[in-house]
Amino acid sequence: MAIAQEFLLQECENLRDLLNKTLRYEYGSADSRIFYDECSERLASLEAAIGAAADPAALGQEGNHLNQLANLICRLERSSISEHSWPFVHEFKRIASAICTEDTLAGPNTPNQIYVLADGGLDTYRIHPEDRRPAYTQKRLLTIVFPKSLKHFVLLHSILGHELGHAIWRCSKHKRDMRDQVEKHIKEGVFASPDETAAHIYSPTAPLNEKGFLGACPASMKQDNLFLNYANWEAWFEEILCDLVGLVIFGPSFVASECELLTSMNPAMTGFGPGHPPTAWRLNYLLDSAKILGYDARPPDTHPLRADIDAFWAHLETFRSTDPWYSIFTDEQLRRALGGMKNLFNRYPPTEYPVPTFERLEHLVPMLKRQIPPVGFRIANDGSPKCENVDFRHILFSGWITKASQPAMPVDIINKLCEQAIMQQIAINISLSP
Amino acid sequence: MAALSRSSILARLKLADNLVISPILADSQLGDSSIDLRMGTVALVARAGGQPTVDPAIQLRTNNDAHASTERREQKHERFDVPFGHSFLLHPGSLLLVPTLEWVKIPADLQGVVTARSSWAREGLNIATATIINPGYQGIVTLELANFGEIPIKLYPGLRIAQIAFYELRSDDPAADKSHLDRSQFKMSFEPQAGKIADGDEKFLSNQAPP
Repeated sequence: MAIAQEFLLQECENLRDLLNKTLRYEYGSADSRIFYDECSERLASLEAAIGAAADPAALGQEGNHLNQLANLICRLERSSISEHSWPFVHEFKRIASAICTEDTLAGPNTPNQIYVLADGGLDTYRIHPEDRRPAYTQKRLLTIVFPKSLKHFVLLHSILGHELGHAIWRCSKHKRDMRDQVEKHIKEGVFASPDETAAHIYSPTAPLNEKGFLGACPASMKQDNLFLNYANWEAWFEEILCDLVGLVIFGPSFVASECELLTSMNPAMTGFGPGHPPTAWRLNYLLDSAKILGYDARPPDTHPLRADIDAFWAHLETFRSTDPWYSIFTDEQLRRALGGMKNLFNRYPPTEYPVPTFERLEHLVPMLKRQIPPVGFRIANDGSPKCENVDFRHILFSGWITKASQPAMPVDIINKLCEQAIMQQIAINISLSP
Repeated sequence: MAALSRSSILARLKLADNLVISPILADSQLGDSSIDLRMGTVALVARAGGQPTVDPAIQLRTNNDAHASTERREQKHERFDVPFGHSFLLHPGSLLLVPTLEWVKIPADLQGVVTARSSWAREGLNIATATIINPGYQGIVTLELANFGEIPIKLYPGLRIAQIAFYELRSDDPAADKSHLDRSQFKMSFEPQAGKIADGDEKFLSNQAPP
């Protein structure tokens, strides 16, 4: 045990060196200081605990904590502000800090400490919530990961609403509300139990391509052991829950980004993963939920944006699978689950997606079509410049509408214009603040 | 060539598909014959160790070597994101490229001219050259900031540091001018970039590698 203790204490010293080296990096935000202090404090308490460990079990536990801290420090070495879209992160953090809070010794509703980094891969959008706080005095850390190559693709970043769902689900403060007001409504019908879900998967009425997927799976996988050996039913539930969270936070942009990303990673749209339910289920209940929430409202026929908004929703409907097997929830189930979620998010503004007026979209979309970043600015009739607050999610929605209705406009240009708009809108909001 | 007055600028800004300066955060940004421009949130500063000299002939020689030319271009400047509320220190004698906060679109019959604001110039901050913005241009405007004073200047995104004035152009062949402009559809600038100093002057540049 003495050798292990000596090794871990040496590792504490190594980590302290590593931590000091992170100060050489330009994080570009005030977070670097808080991060440094937080990690230093954790390192000091771990060093003391390792030195005082009385038995191998206690030493092993502290070693695990040290391992986690080492991972965190190395991750944050890569968190330079140049690697991700800071205007999007600025706005996203406002939502995450509002809903991901805990009661700590520092006070009620203490926001989690959020760090952002970029990594490789197309689908590396992640949020890693810390399982537990190491001490009552400390904040829980949320690490948000963006795909580095998609830095400017802010329209797709709406998918982070789903990842935020994982953090909210793990937040002890919301567990009860999420269980009582959301979980019980999802776990009905096809999703009432692992047996019910497995029976649906192996139903004789399942579409042929889904049966083909099952046929290509290991022969040992059967209906009665699907959720015992091959897939995790609770993980599927969490994915479904997080999809609905993403929708209620980001609105139509979330549906569009999920359709685009999921079908890009699984073009056949068939089958499922050990931790993820069938892609086609997910897209169907998202499209149904968007309707239930009234996000698909259309302006009158004569409205200048009617055709554009129609084009957006018509495009999304192409992702719907028409076989009834793919619709696993009733509208009533979704209505109750979404209502429960809205009740919770309402209490933590600006978490819930604010549905824009058609006038708002009528201002933003034409700006984008004219290749101008869509922001709350106009020249009034009296000739004076007029600025107004615009939620960044409305900028994203206007981007998706433009993408659907202007196929000739390059996607990277739409994204960069929207990113520029989010940055400009932050400046507008600062100028409007008292 | 006549400069636009405040009322003419406003009249143009109100028209669809004409002059665009967006956003204008305060009425005080509008001068009698110009609009103040604010500093954006990116800073490009030349790296002293990045390149031995600025030599257009070297740019030309390395054009056939994608790795070398890209490496030289990328290493010439260090790029910083500077969010609102943060600052960037411009030392005496240093050159800094920053974008404007505003998005600018210049119609076919106008030319924009960007200069320093006199209040900042008195502190030593200068726009290195008067930047001409050509008709048809759309995007941010790159400002080449230099500190001619003797003490460092702290720059904050959102500060009004430059101004743009507009001049009407005379055109002898509007159709030919329009056809030339239309070729640049979807070309726009989102960030400052290093200049292409060798383009078009190849015949004047030595192809010999230095001894």
